[in-house]
Amino acid sequence: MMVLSAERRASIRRTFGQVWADRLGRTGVVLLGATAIVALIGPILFPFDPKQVGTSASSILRAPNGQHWLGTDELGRDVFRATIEGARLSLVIGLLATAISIVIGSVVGISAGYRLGRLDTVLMRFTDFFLVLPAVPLIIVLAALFGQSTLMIIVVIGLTSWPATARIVRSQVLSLRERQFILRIRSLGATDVRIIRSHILWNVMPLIFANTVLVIAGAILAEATLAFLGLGDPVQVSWGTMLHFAFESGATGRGAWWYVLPPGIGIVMVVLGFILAGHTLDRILNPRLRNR
Amino acid sequence: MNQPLISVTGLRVEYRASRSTRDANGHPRPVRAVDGVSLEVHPGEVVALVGESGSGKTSVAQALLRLVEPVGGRIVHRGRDITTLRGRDLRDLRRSFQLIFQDPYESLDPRQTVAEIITEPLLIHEVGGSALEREQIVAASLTSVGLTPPGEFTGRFPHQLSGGQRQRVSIAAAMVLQPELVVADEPVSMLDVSVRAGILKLMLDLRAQRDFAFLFITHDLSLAWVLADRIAVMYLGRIVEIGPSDEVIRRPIHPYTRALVSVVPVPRPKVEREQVVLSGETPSPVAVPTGCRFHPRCPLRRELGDPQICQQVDPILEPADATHSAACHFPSHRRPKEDSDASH
Amino acid sequence: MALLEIDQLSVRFATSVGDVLAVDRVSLRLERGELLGLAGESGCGKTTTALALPRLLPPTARVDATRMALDGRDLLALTEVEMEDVRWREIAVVFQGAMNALNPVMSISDQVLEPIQVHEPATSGREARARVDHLLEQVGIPARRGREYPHEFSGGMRQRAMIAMALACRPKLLIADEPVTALDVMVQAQILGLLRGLRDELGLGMILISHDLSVIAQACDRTTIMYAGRIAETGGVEAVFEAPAHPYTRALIEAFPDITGDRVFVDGIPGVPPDLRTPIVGCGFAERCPIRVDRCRTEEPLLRPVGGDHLAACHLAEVSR
Repeated sequence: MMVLSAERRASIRRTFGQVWADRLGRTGVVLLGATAIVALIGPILFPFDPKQVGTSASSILRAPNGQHWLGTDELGRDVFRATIEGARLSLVIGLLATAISIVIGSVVGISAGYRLGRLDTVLMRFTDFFLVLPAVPLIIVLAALFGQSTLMIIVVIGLTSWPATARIVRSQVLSLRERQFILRIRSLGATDVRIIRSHILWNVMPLIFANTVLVIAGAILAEATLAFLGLGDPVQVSWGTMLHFAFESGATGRGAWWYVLPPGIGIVMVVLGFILAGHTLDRILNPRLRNR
Repeated sequence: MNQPLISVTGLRVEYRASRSTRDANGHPRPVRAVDGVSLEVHPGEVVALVGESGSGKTSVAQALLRLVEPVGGRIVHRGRDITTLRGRDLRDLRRSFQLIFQDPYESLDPRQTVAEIITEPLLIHEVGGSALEREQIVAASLTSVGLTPPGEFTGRFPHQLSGGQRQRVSIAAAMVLQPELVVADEPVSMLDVSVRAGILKLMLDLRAQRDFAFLFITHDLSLAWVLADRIAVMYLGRIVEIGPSDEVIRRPIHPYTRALVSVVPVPRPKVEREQVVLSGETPSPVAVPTGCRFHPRCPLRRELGDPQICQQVDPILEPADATHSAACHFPSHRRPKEDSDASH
Repeated sequence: MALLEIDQLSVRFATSVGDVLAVDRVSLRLERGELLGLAGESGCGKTTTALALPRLLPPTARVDATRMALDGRDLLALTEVEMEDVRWREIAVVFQGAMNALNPVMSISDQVLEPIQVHEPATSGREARARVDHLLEQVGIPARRGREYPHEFSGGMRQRAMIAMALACRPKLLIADEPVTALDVMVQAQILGLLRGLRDELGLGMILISHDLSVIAQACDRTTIMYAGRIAETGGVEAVFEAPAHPYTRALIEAFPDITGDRVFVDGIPGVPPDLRTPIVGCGFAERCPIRVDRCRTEEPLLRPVGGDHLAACHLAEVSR
């Protein structure tokens, strides 16, 4: 649909360069890059088998040693490998939930902002409804109905995080549609579909993009929260479930820091990475949108 | 006379007013931006619509192009009523009408390149066959607006161009579909003086080559005078005087036009002219005065001893001669003492 | 002694791409009760020249001058604290676009009152209020409308309010930067009439900055035309407009249609002004000049008399007339 011209590619490169030039932005990019590499190739180098449990009492909750670099959990599994595996799941959940959130948020935001009138009112009340929908009770209800699964977590996070995006996108579209170039394009005889696709969308894209990065951070945090509360998929390892079981098994009480710290630090790093990169992007992309 | 390219009769445009303006019964009063305007533009003609801010000149242009919905009146294009045209028919019609805006910083999409801006009208109306053909059209149109060599400009974004260059891109985008009517809304008022003349000259040259009609919206009476064949002067949503440019400037009929002409700044110090500086400001279009809408500020009315008719009867545009009309109960040509050359 | 004397004023702006010489050795004189029009296109240095007086330029500006004096008082020798006292009490400025610079939640009277309270705290409340009413009437705002808020005022009325604010502390010099740009012609005529009236009534020295030569021609006594940071021509408006000696002045005048003259359409000035980051060699206008000779590219034309106090910086001033 949208082929990137050489100029656009140059513009995207320039934006990335600006993020890289910013100290906080670069920190964010490095953190995210490191996490991405770990999540992508870590499990290949250090595969994790959840069924490979310890066989003796001495093999559970062992402190870090030569064989288990970050010790073992309450079932005698390797924490280092579990952490690497968890990075993958946390990122996947974060990205998929964000995809749902961004798509719904953008569609609702653009439709409401561009059409205004009754559609706007209906969509915005709909948005308000989702805005006040609490994630935790919702997932408890859904889990009771459909059972606990990763898919459920993704859907719930996606459904509860889009309203903020919708509001931001709508306000941007509201000001865009009053801009003279939109009137000019309309006077050329362009259809609404064309105006939205080729002009509105392109102009809100940087905003959506910067917002996306921030939403991912929120989604990963939300996943950790839900999983920590025991609402995640118990069979799959994510940082949130690791923390949940560490807490459940009393590992925290026994001073098994090696079980708690790795997933905790992982969450902090990823979330911090997305937030730093997101805010830097926001600062770079959005003034340009306002001041042309 | 041959058929006009476009004509409007009794055009009215209203905007919903803010809550603060209500009538005695608490109903919101509409803002009457355009209140009964009739105007014809003939093929190849240059007409200037002149007025102060709030006179409704921009609303006339936008209603004419069906960009705002009129609440009354008829718009006829080559004999065909287009007042209520919708959907595909309306979009097809837009091909013949093009608009150039005042602010070249605002009227171009900041995320499109020059080539994309000029190609877009072609894509919308499926003109120009292949991509290669469109590329050639873009190059030719850039050359025609003086942006040469075109290759230097095609890849640039608006923020990489000067104000004059952006306005040239706007013009190129407007010309690429070979329109019959180009409406330019204050196209040079944001540009530096030395750039301004170049842009106006370009528009006139293009018009001479391609013979489109040109509706020029401006607050600047002297620019209207040098550019246009005919001038229509607007006051508070109405055309109060219309005629050949030289006639309107040299022998204005309506007291408002006479006052305007007398205060237009000229680049000569000590020109002997009697300035008629009207006191006060144009009233709000929410509360249009009764009778003649100009009567509260009219110097002529005071001079004539405040005739009742001015407050009671809304004057209509009446011809003074074959080409020149004004909406005044006491047009200068019918007054006993001919003093209409007071401008010198 | 003239009210305002400026000798050899230069202003440089430090930018990331090097120094920009925005004003280049400009000298001006202004008498009491005189209205001087500072004219030229955007970027010619007219506003920078005027704002250098009350030191209202951004911190990146470096100002050099051999003399800047208001009413015999050396402005260059003033400390920052002393300058604060000079601003508004001696030099008042009506900024460009100032019509939108009013505080929307403060009544017009209160905004005119503010400078009096700040600069003359000894004034009693009653006396200050009376002065505000007088100021409003003086600029043509009925005193009762002082209670209103900016959104209830039209553009012209807001500009009047800004002028009242500028006059609040009885300055000796008023600098008005594009005071009628963006106003309708009728309102323009009203505001220009007001400025001339105030000049006569108060004996103010006034500098009116405008890109619009028609406005300068109608309102001012003398004019200084600037180009690329330098003065191109200066003199009484009649002399300059009736017999311009600099080709730039002539081209600029001709770019404005004159409804009292012939109905001709004149071209703009081809080309663009020079880049002020590199020093100008010879005449800054040479590249765009229709009558230039070789000498114009190498030798800087200095301002020299072409009749009375009419000066022009052109080697060919006599020829070009």
